Amino acid sequence: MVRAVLSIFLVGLFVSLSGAQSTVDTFKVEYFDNAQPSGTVDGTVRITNSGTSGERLCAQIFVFDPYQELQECCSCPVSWFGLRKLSVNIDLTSDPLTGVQQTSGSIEIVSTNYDYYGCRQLPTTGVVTPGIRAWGTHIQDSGTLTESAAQDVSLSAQQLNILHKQCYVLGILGSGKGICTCGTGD
Amino acid sequence: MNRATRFSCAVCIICWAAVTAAQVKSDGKPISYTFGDTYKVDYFDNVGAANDGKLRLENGGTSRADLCAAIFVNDSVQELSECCTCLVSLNGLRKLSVKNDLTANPLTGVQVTSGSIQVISSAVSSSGGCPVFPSVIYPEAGIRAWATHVQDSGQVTEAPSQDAILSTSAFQYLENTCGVIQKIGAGHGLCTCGSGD
Repeated sequence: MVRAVLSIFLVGLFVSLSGAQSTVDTFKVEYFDNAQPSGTVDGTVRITNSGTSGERLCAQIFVFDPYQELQECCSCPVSWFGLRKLSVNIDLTSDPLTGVQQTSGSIEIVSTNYDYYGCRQLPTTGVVTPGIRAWGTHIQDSGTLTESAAQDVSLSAQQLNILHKQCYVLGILGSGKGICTCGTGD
Repeated sequence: MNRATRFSCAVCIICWAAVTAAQVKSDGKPISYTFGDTYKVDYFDNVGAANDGKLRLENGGTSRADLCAAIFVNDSVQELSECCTCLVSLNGLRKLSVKNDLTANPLTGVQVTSGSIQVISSAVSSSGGCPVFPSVIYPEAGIRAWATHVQDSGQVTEAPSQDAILSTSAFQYLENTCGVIQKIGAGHGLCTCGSGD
């Protein structure tokens, strides 16, 4: 009886350690609006790695237009306690899949591991790993600049799969378009 | 319980005791693993512009005691530039200048213009004060923080500092790195605590 209980415990422990990916604290959502490709005011997304996972991370970034269409995606390394700074005009919206630069939309960031290959240019795979924190500045209709922390959302396996697949398709069909850039910092 | 099971249990207990015994700090006190609600992260940018960013700290009273805010200032490429510990009284408010308090005395002598800030809410010492350097600290919940950020346009925005899970590895890295600054910095790398209490 004791052996059976111990066996079940050990099997359960093995499964819990090796199997499921943690999806808690791995997904941040932001928005951009009133982006002016030729304007002087620009929104900024800043990303840091809180060190929660004790490792370098990849911020997988997905930029959507207001109609839920993925326009750009990319994956950017973020070191422990590092700070990465991305321009909405230059890094996140200047190379859209359709060639039409968006003035508003949503930005989704998935916190994933930094593996042997580093951060792949296109985020089509990756193990979700907690630790990314982000802030976005927003250009309001009045021209005023405001700021807020990116909001935390539960990330389902299905949602992650959809993001990865859409970015994969974008990579196949885009002929180099639709790839955002990682700005400055580390 | 048969002999094999008793042996397995004994091995487990010995391993647990060994691991527990190893978890002590340099002052001999055990490391606390109650890290919930003790860690805030923020950033700063455009230091040197006309405007200055501010970091405001408040003790929400969760622990019903004065607290120490252990502050770590990293540049944008993960290098710890300054660290210090500041007393935040029960329901008190402390205000720090990014330009004058957090980046004016960097370890390397080169003021950083952007980077990240980590704040660990920790307990005061037995004498009621805070250590100068946060190289040996004991996390205790209660600190809340806000920061104003100088944008590229010169405008100043504000957001609350973000809560994060303080892992043992991050905690020990920050403590140890600040300990190194304390030993080799010759006074450089020590931030100051601004005003308020």
